[in-house]
Amino acid sequence: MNVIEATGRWVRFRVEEAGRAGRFLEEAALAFGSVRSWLPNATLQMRRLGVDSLPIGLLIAVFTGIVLALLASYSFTGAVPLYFVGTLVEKTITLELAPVLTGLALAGRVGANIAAELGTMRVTEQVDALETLAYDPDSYLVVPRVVAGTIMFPLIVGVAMIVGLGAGWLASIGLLHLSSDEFLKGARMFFSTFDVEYGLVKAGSFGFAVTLIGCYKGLRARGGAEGVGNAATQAVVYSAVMILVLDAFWAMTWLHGRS
Amino acid sequence: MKRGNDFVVGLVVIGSVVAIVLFALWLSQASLGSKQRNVVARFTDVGNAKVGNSVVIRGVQAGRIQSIELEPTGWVLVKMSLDPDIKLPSNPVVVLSESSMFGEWQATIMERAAAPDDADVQQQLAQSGAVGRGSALPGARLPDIAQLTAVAGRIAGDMSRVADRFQVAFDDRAANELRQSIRNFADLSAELERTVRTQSQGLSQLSSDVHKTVGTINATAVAVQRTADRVDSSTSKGQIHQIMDNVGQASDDIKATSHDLRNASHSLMATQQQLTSVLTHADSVLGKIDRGQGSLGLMVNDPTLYQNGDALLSQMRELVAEIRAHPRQYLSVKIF
Amino acid sequence: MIKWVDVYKAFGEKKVLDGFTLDVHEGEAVVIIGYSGAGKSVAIKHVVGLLEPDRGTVEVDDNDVPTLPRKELYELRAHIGYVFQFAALFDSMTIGDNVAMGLRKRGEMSESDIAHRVAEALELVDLPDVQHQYPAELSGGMRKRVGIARAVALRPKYILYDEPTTGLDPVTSAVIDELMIRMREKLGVTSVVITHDMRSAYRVGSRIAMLYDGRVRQVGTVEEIQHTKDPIVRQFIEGRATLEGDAASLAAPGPAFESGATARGGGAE
Repeated sequence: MNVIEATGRWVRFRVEEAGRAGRFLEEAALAFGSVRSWLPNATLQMRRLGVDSLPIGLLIAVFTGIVLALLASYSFTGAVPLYFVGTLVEKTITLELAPVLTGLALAGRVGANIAAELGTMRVTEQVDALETLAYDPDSYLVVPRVVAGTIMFPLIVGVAMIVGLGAGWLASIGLLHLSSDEFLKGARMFFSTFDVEYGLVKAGSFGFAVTLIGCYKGLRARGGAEGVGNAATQAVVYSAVMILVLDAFWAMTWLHGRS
Repeated sequence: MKRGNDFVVGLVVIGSVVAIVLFALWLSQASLGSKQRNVVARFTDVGNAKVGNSVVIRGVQAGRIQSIELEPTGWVLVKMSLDPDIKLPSNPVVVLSESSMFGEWQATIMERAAAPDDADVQQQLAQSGAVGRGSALPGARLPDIAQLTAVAGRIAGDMSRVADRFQVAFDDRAANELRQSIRNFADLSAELERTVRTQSQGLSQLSSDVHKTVGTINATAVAVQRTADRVDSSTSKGQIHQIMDNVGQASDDIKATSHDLRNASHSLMATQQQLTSVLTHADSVLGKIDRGQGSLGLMVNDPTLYQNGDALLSQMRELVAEIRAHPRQYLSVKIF
Repeated sequence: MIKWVDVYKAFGEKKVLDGFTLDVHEGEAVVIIGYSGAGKSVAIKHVVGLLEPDRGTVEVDDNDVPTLPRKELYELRAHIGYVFQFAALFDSMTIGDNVAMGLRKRGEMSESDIAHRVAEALELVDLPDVQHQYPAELSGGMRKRVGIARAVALRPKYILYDEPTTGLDPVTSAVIDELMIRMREKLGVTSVVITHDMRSAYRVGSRIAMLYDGRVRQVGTVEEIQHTKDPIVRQFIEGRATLEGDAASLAAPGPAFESGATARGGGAE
C-alpha cells in the first residue's frame, strides 16, 4: 500500500513540477514580448554571461585542439596519411567538441551564476520587492539572461572553433612535423559550412537551455543559503544533462539522414 | 558603466561574427571580392560530380564546380569558377573523373588532343562539342569501374548459360557460343584495362596494383580465347592435346593473376578461398581432360566432368558478381 | 480601503490563514501582531498579489486583487509601498538607483525630477548622503530606512511594513517608529504594520489586530487591546511564557516587559 502511495505521490510531484516548468516557460515567452523592459538589461547580461565567459571557452578550445591533433596522429599511425589529422580536428571541433565542451563549462559558470544570483534575490525577497515596484521578474530578470545566453553561446563557441582549429594546426606543425599545407588540405577536404552552422545552432540551444534552467532553479529557491546552494547545484546538473540530451536530439533530427 | 558594457558587448559580438564568417569562408575556400572567371562545359552525364568538387588543370587545382544544371535539351551544364589569372589550354575540353576512391570527383580541363584515347570519351567530346560551339566547352566523363564490373557480371551469366549446354551436347553451336562468350570476356577485360589506363593518366591515386592485375586478367583472357578457338576447331579435327596444353597455360596465368589479386587484397581472406577453390576446380577439370583420351566424346559423356565445368563457371560468375557488388573492396586496395 | 474577507491560505499541509477577515480604513495605521510564523507576512503579501488566496477575497479600493489582470495589478502595486523585513534592497545597485527603481518603471517623470524625488525621500528617512553607496555598505537600520524611502518615493496611498523594527536596537527602533508616524501624519498614508514589538505597536498603531491560529483573535484600539480580557492576547502583549504564569513582570504595560517582547520577536518570521 505504501509503495502504491509513494508511487502516486512521486507521479503527482513530477506532474506538478512539469506543470510549473511549463507555466514558467509560458510566462517567460509572454515577457519576451515587452522588449522595452528587458532590452536595457540584456547588454549587461551579455557582458556578464557572454563576454566574461570567453576566456574559459577559449582555454578549453586551445587544449582540445592540441589534444585532438595528438590523438589523431596516434590513432592514424602508419595506416592513414597524417593530413587526415586536419580533417579529424576540423570535424570534431566544429561539430561536437567546441559546442559541447564549451557548453558544459558554461553550464557550470553561467548556470550556477544565474541560479545563485536569482536564488539569493528570491530568498532575500528582492524578487518580491521587484514585483511590488511593478516590475515583472520574468521580463526584468529571466528574459535578458535567456536572450544573452542564446546570443552569446554561439559566439563563444564560434570563436572556440577558430581557436581550437588554430591550436590543432599549430600543434600539428610544432609537434607532429606536419606541414601547414598538409593540415589545411585535410581540414578543407571534407569541410562544409554546414559543420559551422550545425555547431552554432547547437550552441544556441545550449545557451537557451542553460540560462532558462538557471533562472527557473534560481527563482524557485527556498530557504536560506542552503536553498541557494541547492538551486545552483541543480541548475548545473540539469543544464549538463540537458546539453547532452539536446546534443543527441540535434544529431538524430538534423545530422542523421544527411549524406 | 552602462555605456561601457554596450561598447564591450558590441565589440565582441561584431568581432566574433566577422571572425566566424571569415573562418567558414576561408575553410570552404570561397573567394571574396576577387573576381572569378566562369567556365561552362556541357555533358551528357556528370556521373558523381557535385557542386564544390575541384577543377584541375595539368594536375593543379584551379577552381571549383559552382553549379550543375539540367538543361531542357537534355544536356547537363557544369559551371566552374576559376581563379582569374589562370590561362586555359588551347582548344580545351573538360573531363570528369574520380579523384579518389571515396567517390570524390574532379573536373580536369585539358587540351582536346590530350583527352583519353577512348572511343566512348572521344564520342562524348565530339557530340557535346558539336552542339554549341563557343557557348560551352565540350565535356566527357570517364566510366567508373563499377560499371565495367556490371558488364563482366552479365557476360559471366552468358558463359554460365553456355555451360548448361554441356549437359546436352558439346556441339558446334555450343562451342561457338562459348567462343563468343569468351571473346566478350576478353573484350571486357581489355576494356577494363583501357579504362584503368585512361583513368590513371589523370589520377595517380589509382593503384598500380589494380592496373597490373587487370593487365594479367587481360592476358589470361587472350589465352582463354586462343584456347576457345582451338576448342572450336577441334570439334572437327580433334587436336585436343594441344588445347589442353594451352588451357593448362591459361590456368597458370589465372593462378598468377590470383596471386596478384591476393597480393593486392590481402585483407580479404574469403575472396582468396573462393579464388583458390575456383583454381582447384579448373586444375582438376583440365587434369581429367588431359588424362582422358583427348576426346570430346568423353567430356560430353562424363557427367562429373561437365558438372565440374559448370561449377567452375558459376563460381567465376559469383566472383565477378561479388566484385561488382563491392568494387571498392577489390579495386581500391590501397586507398591512401 | 484594504479588506480581507474570509481568506484561507495553506502551504502544502500547513494551514496559515484560516478565515482571516480584517478591514483597514483610509488614514488608519493598523498594527498586526502575532507569533512568529503565524502568517502575518502571508496576510499582507496578499494585498499586493504576491500570494493568491486559496479561498476568500482580498480587496484594495474595491479591486479584487486575486482576479486582477496582470496590467491592472501592476497599476495597483504602484499605489502600494511595501517595506520588506530585511529591506530587500537590490544589492547590485546604489541606494539612489534602488530608491529610483519604482519611479523609473512608471516612466512619467524626467530623470532630474526622479533625482529630486529620490533626494527628498532619503531626506525624509534622515539619510541624505548615501545615494552613491551600495546596500552592503549600510547598517541594518539604515537599510530598513532606505527600504522605507524606496516605498515612500512613489508617494503611495498605502504602505505595508513587514516587521520594520525587528532586530534593531531600541533607539533605531524609535527612530523608525517616528518615521512611520510622520508618514501617516505628514503624507496621510494609510499603513499596515506587522510587528511583535509591542512598544512599537502601541506607539504607531491607531488600531491593533492580533493574528492567532490563522484568524483575527481580537481587533481594537490600543486602549482596548491593552485592557483586553482575552488570555491569549494578554499572554502575547505581556510576554508571558505560559498562559497564566507570570513572566517578564508587571500586569500593566510598561517598558520592562516590552524589551522582553522585543527579544522574543527578534527571530526571523
